[in-house]
Amino acid sequence: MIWFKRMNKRNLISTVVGVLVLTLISVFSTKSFELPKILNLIFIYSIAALALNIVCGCLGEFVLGHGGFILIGYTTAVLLMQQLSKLFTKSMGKVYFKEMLVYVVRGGELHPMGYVFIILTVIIAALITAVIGFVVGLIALGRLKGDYLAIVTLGISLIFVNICKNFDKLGGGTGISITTTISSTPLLNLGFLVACLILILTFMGSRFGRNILACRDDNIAAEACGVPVNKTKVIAFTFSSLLAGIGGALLAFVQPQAPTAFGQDMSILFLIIIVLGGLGSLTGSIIAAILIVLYENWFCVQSWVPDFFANNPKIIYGIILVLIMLFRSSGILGKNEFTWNWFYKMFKKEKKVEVSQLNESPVFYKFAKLSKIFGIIALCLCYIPLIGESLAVAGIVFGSIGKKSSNETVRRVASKGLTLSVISVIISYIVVDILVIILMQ
Amino acid sequence: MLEVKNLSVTYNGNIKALKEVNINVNKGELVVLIGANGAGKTTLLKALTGLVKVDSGSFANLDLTGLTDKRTLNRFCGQKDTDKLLAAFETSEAVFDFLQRAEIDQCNPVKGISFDKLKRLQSRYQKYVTANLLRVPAHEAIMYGVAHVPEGRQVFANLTVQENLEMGAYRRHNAIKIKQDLKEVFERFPRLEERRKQKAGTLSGGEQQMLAMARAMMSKPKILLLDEPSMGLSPIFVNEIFDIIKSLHESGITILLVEQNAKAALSIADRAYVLETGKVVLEGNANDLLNDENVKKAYLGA
Amino acid sequence: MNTLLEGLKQGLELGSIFALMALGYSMVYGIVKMINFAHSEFITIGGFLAYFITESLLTSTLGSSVWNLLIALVAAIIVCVVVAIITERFAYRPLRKKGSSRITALITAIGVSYIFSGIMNAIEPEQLQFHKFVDKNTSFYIAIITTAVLLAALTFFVKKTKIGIAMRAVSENEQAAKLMGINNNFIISLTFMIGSALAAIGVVIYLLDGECFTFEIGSVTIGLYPFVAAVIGGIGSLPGAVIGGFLIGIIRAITQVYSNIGLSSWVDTIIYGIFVIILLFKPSGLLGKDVREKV
Repeated sequence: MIWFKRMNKRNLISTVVGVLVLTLISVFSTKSFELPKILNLIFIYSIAALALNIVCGCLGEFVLGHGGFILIGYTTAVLLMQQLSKLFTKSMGKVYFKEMLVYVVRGGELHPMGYVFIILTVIIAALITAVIGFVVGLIALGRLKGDYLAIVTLGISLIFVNICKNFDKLGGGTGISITTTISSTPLLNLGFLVACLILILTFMGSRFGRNILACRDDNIAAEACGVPVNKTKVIAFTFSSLLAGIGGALLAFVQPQAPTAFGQDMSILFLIIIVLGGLGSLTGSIIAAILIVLYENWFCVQSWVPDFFANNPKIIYGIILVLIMLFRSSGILGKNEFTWNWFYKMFKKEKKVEVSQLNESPVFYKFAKLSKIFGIIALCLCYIPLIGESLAVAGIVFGSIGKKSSNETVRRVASKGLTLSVISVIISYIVVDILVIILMQ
Repeated sequence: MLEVKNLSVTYNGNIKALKEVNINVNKGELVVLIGANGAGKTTLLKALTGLVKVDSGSFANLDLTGLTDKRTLNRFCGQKDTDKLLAAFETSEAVFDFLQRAEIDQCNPVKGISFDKLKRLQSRYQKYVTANLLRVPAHEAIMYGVAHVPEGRQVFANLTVQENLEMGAYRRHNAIKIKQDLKEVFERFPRLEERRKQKAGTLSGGEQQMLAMARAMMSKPKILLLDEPSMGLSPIFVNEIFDIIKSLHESGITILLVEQNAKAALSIADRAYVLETGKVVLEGNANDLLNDENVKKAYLGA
Repeated sequence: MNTLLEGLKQGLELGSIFALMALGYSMVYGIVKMINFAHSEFITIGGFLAYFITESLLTSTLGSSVWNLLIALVAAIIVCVVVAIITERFAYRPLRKKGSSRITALITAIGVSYIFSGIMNAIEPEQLQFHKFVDKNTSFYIAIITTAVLLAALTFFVKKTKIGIAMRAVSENEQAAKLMGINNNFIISLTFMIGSALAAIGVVIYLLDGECFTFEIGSVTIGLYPFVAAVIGGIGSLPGAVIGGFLIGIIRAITQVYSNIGLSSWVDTIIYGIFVIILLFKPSGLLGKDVREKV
């Protein structure tokens, strides 16, 4: 696997560590009430955002109909599960099945058979979504461009929503769900996310991926170089709907939704996520998905946040979109992926500055150095309530003083210290919250 | 009439399309800019009419003194004030003379115009007299008598021939005069009259070029900037176009012509500049350049 | 509404309203090549404003006379126009200056529409009912006649007046238009003004026979239909927008007529289905021009 070899050792280790941390959090999250839901949504939204980013960011074609494919994944998963449970009940007897599933849901523990069911259902639902996506892609992508494509895909997704709304079996007005029978755990969703990431990286690293990227930059030039543009577009779209199907199917096991929730609003929400994260940046989409899920499910429900934010999501999202487009249209990460290099740079020692060479008071340099030291210590001790915070505050203060220096190196050291201190403050907040949730329940 | 000094244009932060170019065009001349593809010729014209950004330190002074006709006066003072000024000074030359003077005495010789207004008109004229063309926004260039026929004709494809010509006269307000000029244009280009109601996009390349030039002429310009008129035209049309350019020149219009077809261009020009990768490498009389060894080797295929 | 004839009549009325709004979409797209998603919010804003004014004037001496309505209409037009100009100036023009891609403009339009929609929701989330000024019969004639008159006026404007021709010139080729001395920014603002004025007129006509509406009137009730109509008819083509509007209006009304067999809940599918099919066979719409990309 090419991408595997491309990652250098440092990145690989950090990524693995990151995944392990998430796994641990997921495992222990069952103790709390809120955390699993947030984690589930984070992982699922990440998958769906990645799906959209492949078409919009990597291929360069804009589609607004994402919600429709997620809906297909969702509905198919629910229906499949319903059929499966009926089948099982028939063959193994109602009691045994019910017992097993009841065991599944009680106390948040999932019976191994439950895992099998979910995985099977998700895969089949995703494949079905991919087939539908293939057909839609075949019809739409060949002839339409730009704005037209966006509107047509939006229209198609609205057709799907309309169809589901009209048949009660498919959702009707209130939607169908199976979360009462069986629901998944954050760990499973994390597993799917990792699997999807591996799938995406393999796909994008392959010949298909290169074709897709070529089409983004210039359709005609790509065609002239022998890239089968139309085929590539359809392949990309199919792959994207596969992933969207996975996301939708996983969503079925997490929370019930009515078909209308998959319409324009959801499509645009995912558009916001990938634009925020950076079109074409996979890690960017994940980061943006985390931000948006945290915003909706954590920030808005905090007591110290005014109701305005929870009641008027549209205004906030609209403002975010407009501001990003006006000021940083490439999103948070642009086309780049998130690497851990940035962290390594933070801790690296700067070139030693000769105090005698400075044509200003040596105070700045001293403060800058102190700020960096405090920042690092604060990062390590951030979970200790008072000490960690005061160290961080000291780091911030020293850092801001140090930044006033006229020497570039001194400024850099100071800003590093500043950043480290700020990060430690943020982490202390989040980590403390998580620990409280885990340990208190 | 047009003095370009130190013109530099940078694309995308580091690609220098023009490097400190100096060019002069005197009144009534036909000056030609020749050079290979990518030499910066189109960029120069675009810079003059404000379609691309120029680097600081560039100047393009358009000297319009000596152009003392009534219509110029009209443009800057408006119909009513022009009449009042003419009533006071009788000839437009006298009016311009008056406006050019640095001081206006306390006694206001012009009836009907307040002293303040007179001062304003005066300062406006001072600014107009040598306009730094580079400070003029693109859609005002035409008010200074600069008409630009862009590369690739760029006629309005879905508008009729007549509408295209009317757009050329967009900034003019004298409907009768515009109609007259339209008639003259059709007399000069009978082929355009035939296709008067046709959509401009349906015309052949050569006809489109004629249309583009006629459209520029409709604004009654003082100086005409022509960007590669012969590009993409069949040889017969190339000859026809150059004949037209020549006749335009003979009727007194100053022309700055940018061309890749060096031979045809040099044969009708007064003076010429050779542009290479953004710099002027040669300048002189068109005849001299026609016979120059280097030019012959590089551009005339000797 | 039971008979086909009544349905057709309702369809024509609805269609003419859609046509007015579709004209707005079409003109703006024609000139800046951008789908102004915020157009639907102009509709909402116009509707709300007209409502508030008529309600407050009802208690005054004007009562429910025509003058009440006319004042509300004029006020709605003015406010819509101002909002449109502000949106264009601060959200779209900077992107044009930067040379951003069309998709960036599209996303910004979505963002702006979300902001307005959110604000409208915050102001008045409840359902409102517009005062019934005329009965259904009269409103039919008003709709048809107004649309016909406005279409004629607009066509005349665009074909015969200097500024109208300049508008077409700018939509053809911005650079060449600049060289003619045309002030592109002004022309574009003017186009937005006309588009939003038409939207305001359209929504007021829709509301005047006592319709109920919510803050979603622009984005959901009327929603994407005028846009679909404009695209079906051929974006950039004025008669196309009108034909598209009527088509969609009639389809909408007919599905209502046959609502007893449940057709009305399928209206979305039918309309978007037709939309997709037409675009597949004629990507530039029914009356649109086929623009070939030159390499």
